[in-house]
Amino acid sequence: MAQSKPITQGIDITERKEVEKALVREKNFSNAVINSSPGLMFIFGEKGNIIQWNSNAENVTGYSASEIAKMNVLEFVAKEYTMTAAEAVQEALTKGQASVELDVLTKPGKKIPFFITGRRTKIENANCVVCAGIDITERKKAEEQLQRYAAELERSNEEVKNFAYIVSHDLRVPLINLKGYTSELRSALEVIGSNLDEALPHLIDEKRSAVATALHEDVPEALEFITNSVSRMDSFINAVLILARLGRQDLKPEPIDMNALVQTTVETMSHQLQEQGIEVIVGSLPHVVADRTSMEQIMGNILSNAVKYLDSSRPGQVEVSAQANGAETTFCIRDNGRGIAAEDMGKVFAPFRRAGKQDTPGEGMGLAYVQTLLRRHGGRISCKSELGKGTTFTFTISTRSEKGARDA
Amino acid sequence: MPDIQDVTILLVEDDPGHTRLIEKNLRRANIKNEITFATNGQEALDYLFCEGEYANNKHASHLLVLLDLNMPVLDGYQVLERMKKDERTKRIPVVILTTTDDSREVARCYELGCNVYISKPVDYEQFCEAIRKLGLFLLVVTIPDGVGG
Repeated sequence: MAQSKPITQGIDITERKEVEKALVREKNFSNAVINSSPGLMFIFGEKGNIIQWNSNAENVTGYSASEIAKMNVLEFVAKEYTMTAAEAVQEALTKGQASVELDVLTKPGKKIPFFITGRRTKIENANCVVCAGIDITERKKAEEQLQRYAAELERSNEEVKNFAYIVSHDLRVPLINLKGYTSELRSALEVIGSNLDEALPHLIDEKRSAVATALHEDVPEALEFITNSVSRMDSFINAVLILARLGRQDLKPEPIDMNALVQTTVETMSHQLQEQGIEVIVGSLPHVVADRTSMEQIMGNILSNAVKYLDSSRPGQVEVSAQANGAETTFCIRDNGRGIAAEDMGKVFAPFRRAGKQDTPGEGMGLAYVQTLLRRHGGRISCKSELGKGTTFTFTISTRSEKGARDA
Repeated sequence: MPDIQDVTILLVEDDPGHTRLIEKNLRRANIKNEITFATNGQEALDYLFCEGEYANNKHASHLLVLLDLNMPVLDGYQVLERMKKDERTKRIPVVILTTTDDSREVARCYELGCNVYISKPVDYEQFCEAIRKLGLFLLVVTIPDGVGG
């Protein structure tokens, strides 16, 4: 027995050495993990006393290891977050885990926003919390930037709306004068003309023909050009005014049976449909909550476009379908018309722009109105088309439009 | 009650072209009343209250105001508000005559106490017709006693 002792001891030592080696390896590994972590790591006791930390904690907070060893975890938190942090610590200790966003206060007094999660654990039978934090400065900056952009966008949106409204109103003032005084000129010209015709024979030939040309050709021609230009300007201004109004008018969201609404729209076009043998297929459409007038305008515009731009070489076919998916309803209006060329797609929703062959009347505002109305409903519209094959308009509106409706 | 012929029309309008067109068409509609002109809201109030440039004027005995809305210095809303708040001017009939036909603006003017709101049509024939009808209307309006002073 006595002989065997050293052997036994030898075995014991070997085993212990192995265990110790393993422990050292383990410790080195976990230290390496903890210290290479880019975030903050602390282990602290129930009273907030710091037990362990990673080397990055020293870099971030600016405190030395000997300082940290004597500190309480709450001393690393900016004053305004002390309560929040204390509550989170309690939550971690009682419920097992917690997370919090707060500003870390460094030794030089700098505040750095952190997202911190903590988990309760036991070390040598005592409750403690292991917490890890990541620097969210960039995220905070991005959030603030995003908020600023949103506010700016809202402001400039508001400005554009008001601008369009004011411009279209103010332009009417000179327009009234242009129209009024051309009309006055025309009346005055008639008075002059009727008297001058009597006087003309008394003039010498050369002057007579000059006066006659001015009176009967030049002046009426000039007036004609002015009148036509003024009329065009008038219709432009009116179109802008309508667009501005659509962006401002109050929306009254109500439940709408889209089947009935589309049916009514199709009926108003029935004469044209019959005459040209156009088939309109309407699938089963859902109810939506939206502003009725807006929906009538949206459907009316898209459908009349579909019918307007059919291809006369084949029987026209227009199909309306819809799909409700959760919070949104998507409507599809497909036609087999002449289609829109790829290079013209950019013009489709732009005000005063018309694409393709200009053989039907229109001022190029219809889809601009539609887009404005849809945006106000928190919706969107897109268009797919192939020249010579047909066009499909797809628009989506929020099913809960009362919430979705924005003053955009 | 004053004879309608004795009523002075105060035309408040900043655009000289509009002023002439309104005046011409009122005359064509056989309105023979004296017409006084103001080119902005402040001038109109000065005239109504005999202040500023009109300090030494006698108050016009009977008045009717044709008021534009979008004007420099003081706009039509401000003029209307001041007139309807003041004991001296609150009974003077006010006809809003403006390019605006936005329903909110119309409602606001009636709330502020205007008596009639007319939108100036852009189309000149309609414009003439509107002023002619205004003229006919003015011929049958009864103006209260003692307004304007």
